[in-house]
Amino acid sequence: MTRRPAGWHAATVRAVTVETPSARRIEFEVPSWPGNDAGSHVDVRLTAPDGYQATRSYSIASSGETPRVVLAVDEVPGGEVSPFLVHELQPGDQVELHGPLGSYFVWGPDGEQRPVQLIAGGSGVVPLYAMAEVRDALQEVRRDATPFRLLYSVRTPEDRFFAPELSRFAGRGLDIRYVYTRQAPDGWAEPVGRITRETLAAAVWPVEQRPSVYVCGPTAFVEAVADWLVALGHEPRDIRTERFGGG
Amino acid sequence: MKVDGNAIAGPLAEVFGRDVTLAVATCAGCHESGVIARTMVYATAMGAVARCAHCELVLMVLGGRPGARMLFSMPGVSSLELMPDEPTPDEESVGTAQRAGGGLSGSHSS
Repeated sequence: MTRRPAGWHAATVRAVTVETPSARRIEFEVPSWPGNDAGSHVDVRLTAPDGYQATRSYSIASSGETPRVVLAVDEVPGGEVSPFLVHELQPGDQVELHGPLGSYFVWGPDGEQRPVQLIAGGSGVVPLYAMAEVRDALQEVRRDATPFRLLYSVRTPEDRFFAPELSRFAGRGLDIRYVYTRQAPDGWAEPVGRITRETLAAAVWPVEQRPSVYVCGPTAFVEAVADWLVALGHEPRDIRTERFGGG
Repeated sequence: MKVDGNAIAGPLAEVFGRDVTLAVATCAGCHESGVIARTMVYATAMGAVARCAHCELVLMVLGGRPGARMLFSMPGVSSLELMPDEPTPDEESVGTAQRAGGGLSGSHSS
């Protein structure tokens, strides 16, 4: 992984598209961006006309040496920053980004090629998507990319982030399991509801494969999943976690 | 709001001039070591407190906000080990936690 300097950058919105009914995908152009590893995040700072500032952290859905930075932001109702990003932000608008941040919750193809297990709760899929995208790009050229599995817990089918992209990745070997917590597609065989220790055990790489595990989601989700993984026999040092709150 | 050390990467980069989420902090209370990313962080609009995931001692306090007046203290950190550049696989796996995602626990010898 490359250690890149974190700094403040002026970012211009290039595109805002609907990601889910409550989320938007925001593409920024950041001429001074040093690039970022898959899984890292940025602090987004908004400044009101009266000088009031608010800052929130968001995972980056993109990676690599590029001035393009993509976020996917879910609205936290009553939040201070996310409703603005989801409903008000327009192409041409400028914000300040501080980053790239985080050298712990990142994945790169260099190093040992242990299988990777991604586990997402809701919008926690964003940094994991960035990792899956790197793996997919490698698979396209090398055909022997690291084996990846994604377990994605999401409210309903329409709440899935990156649905078309993930389907495409699945065609190139990304093993995806969905857990629907409120409503599943018609004909879905699995039970609808929160992830359980049993669902988890059935979906993740077996302990003997010594997967490198990345878990991202709301704090309660991450802690439940991480505790179950340890109970299943996974080494705590093999489990990387990133929790988020809201706003 | 309870999160983890990843969430304070930004304000800590303001203090240290670089990302320090992989820096290894040793708790002054229980002497466990681990990477900052694995500490327990409680964040509010006023700032954030990072606690040892092993004994819950207050390791670091961050007040204010980047771009304005900031306050930073490390009352519970007896040492902080920063790596110079590219992390090695060994370095990355430092901070073996007894509990997954738990922060400062496990063994690291320096």
